[in-house]
Amino acid sequence: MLINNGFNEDKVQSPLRYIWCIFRSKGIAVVAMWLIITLIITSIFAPWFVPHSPLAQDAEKMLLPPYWVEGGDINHILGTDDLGRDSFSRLFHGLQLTLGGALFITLIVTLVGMFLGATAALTKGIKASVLHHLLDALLMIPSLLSALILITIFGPSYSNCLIAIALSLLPQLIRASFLATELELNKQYIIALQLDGATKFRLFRYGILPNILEPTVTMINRLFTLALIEIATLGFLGFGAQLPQTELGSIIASSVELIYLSPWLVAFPGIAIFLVILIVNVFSEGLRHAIIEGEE
Amino acid sequence: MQPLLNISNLCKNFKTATGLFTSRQKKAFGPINFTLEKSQTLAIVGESGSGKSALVRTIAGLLKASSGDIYIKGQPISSLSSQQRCLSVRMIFQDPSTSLNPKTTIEKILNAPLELNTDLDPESRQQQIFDTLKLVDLLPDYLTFYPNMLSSMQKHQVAIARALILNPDIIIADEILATLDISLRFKIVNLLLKIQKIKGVSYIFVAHNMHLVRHMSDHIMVLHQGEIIEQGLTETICENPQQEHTKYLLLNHQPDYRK
Amino acid sequence: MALLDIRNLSIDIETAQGTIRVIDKASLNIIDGSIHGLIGESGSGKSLIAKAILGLHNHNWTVTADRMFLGKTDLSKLSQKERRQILGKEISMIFQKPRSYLDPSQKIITQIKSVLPQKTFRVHLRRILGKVRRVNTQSTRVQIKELLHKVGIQNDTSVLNCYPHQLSEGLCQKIMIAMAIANNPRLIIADEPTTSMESVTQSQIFRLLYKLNQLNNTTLLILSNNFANTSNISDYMTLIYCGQTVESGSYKQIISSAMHPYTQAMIKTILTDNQINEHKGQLYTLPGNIPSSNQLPIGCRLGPRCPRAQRTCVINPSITIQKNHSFRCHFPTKLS
Repeated sequence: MLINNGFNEDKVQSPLRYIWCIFRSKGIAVVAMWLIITLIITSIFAPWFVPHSPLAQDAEKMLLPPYWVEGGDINHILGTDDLGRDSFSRLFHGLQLTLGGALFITLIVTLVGMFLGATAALTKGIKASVLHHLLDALLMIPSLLSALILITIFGPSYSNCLIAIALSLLPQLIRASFLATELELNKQYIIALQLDGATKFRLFRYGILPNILEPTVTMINRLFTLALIEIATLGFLGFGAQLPQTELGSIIASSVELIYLSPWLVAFPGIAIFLVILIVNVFSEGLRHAIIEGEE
Repeated sequence: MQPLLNISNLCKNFKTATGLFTSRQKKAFGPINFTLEKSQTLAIVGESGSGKSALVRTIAGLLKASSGDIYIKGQPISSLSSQQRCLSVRMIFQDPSTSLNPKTTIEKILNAPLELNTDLDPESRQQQIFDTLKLVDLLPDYLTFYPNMLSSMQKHQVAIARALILNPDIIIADEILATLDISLRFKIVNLLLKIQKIKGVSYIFVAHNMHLVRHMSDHIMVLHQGEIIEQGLTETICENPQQEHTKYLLLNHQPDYRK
Repeated sequence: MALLDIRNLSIDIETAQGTIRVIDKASLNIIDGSIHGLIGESGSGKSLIAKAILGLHNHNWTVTADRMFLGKTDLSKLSQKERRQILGKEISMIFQKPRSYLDPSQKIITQIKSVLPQKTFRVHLRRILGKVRRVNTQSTRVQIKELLHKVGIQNDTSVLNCYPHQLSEGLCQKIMIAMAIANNPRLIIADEPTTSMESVTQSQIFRLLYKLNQLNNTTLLILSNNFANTSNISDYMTLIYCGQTVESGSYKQIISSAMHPYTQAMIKTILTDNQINEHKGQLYTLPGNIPSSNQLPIGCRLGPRCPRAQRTCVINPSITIQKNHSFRCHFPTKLS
């Protein structure tokens, strides 16, 4: 690229801006991004716009089907459950807990895990070795099982369930960030930066971090999906959010006996979980492809 | 008068694992002895596997020597802080497309060594960056570019600027001409010679193209399987090579196909 | 007899900045049985010409030529399938960085077996009949062994059982050459076969190519950026700069009386043992840099850098031919 622009109007695009431009050209991923933003906003503001309180019981209107089926009532769009509580409101409240919990776990685990993984990769010696082997041992146990074990130790409740899942997913993230950092450490420009006398922090912030965007996006995506499914699973098993807290998994659990009478009560939360995971995965795949194309 | 660089009995061994619990020492190079004066160029030649890369990386500070000493201006290198070491010895890597961080601008790449090793204020750093770019024939407009926007010749120039920016005494060039074609090689050689005239830097050059080596070096050191088999002034070695292996390397192997 | 006759080949590529003429009226004339060197720096379009000959170009490129003849067949009039068939039998190609062109997950013996000519039913029948009549016919194993001996690999059993990553670059290049000559092609195109190799290995590969040309009369087209090495081995040379062929002729004609300023600059890159340049002095180079593809000069593309450029150089010079020595320059000169 030669410098023949006499008018200095063409600004050089930084790599992040370039990746953003490529991402914007992918239709589906941008749609997914807007849907995620909508979901997050609705789940934060759920108590303010749902028509009924999720705990309000109405003895006359029990087990109503959704309004498009015969016998439905427009006041309860998605029907009611066996105690007359509105499904629509319960769905959004449940989304608040499930989605919100998953986001929270993702945030905490990413921060802690990347810090630990990068430290392990950048330091050598006995400490790193011990951490490495300990993690390998922990990774042998499936994450759901270890979450269950931790729940039985802590006792069932929503916040304990979040802590348990966070602890069970932490080894995977530490391992993934360790591998990504180590792969970068062999590159020539990192060696050159080390020769310039960079401190470990500077090496990580300017040398390694901008170059591990793609594995990071993959890691965070997997983390979010696993966290969401595990919260719902623990809720379903009765170890997560306890009644009267609404959480998508526990909604499904309490409606499972009524599945022949009113399948809607199980279907809608299930579809909600499925859609959330689908949207988040489409978004992060689009982002990942944009990063890969941007780096070429 | 102390020589600029004095290497005495430098050895490096790598541990390789043989079998379940045993490991073996594999010699990379050693013992190596040589000296280097100001404004002189030393060329290290040898076939691949002879330890040239390991030797220059040990001098630059990437690898730690197993035994032996490196003295810069009479002081052993272990007594220098890492900042002082950076100010004396700098390295140019072989392939600038992988040795320049693709996510940082040229300005940040050149600023990093200055920030970490000197305590100049921002204006003097900027001035130093401009002066160095002028020395390698690059316009200051290139500072906002990212490395993937530059041509291969310009990337080499940036790598040389990164080495020069701290005004070192010794610059180590590890096979930098291998990825270029002939006319660009000549341009880089001309640039390095011009810099040597202006700044008085000494070079340690690792190369295989014997013609260019002969043109631009004062001393040659021939390595074979980690040991020096011949070293001395360029004219003496090129005219009277003593060892068989040196003759093999120096000969123009192409027979005359016209006969 | 001309084996490959290409006249006024032009390639236009559509980019975001418009149509760029990357190859501008290039001509190439390869005589049967000779070694022809196509010399140009990186980015001058040599690989594009090779791809256009083989038909491997991208389909949104526009390839036009006045003549594109291989022997007696007109390449531009063939359909894709016919072209592939002819090219599979007549032309082979070897590449730069040979290790990356070999399949890293297969042993060498599997890869060589896959390029040998397929055994037809007749050959199988002959083998069975041969066993009955106790006549020795060539098995695949023996054929491969012979092939490797032809390229100078002595310890074939150990090499055949290795994977590509265990072998050196020189050995991988020899294996690629063996795979290229397996079908006895008439023309071998070598795309920078020895760039990024050490000088000892380079001379081994060149010696091998020379031997193949002498023994089997295979024509060679060597694409290279190293004037010194390639001119040593070539009978005929064509120099190309930024997509324009600037000079073409036999070795003697070019070395003794180079007409084009670019050729003269290339000749000065041959450093011989008798020191023409003073020790540690500045070497001769053309000023400036190779233009990038979206900023190609009009007319003669060497114009901005040429020491003899004048106003008329904005018009594309026409070709001048003197006794098979052709060049395109408005102000040619003999090498003094």
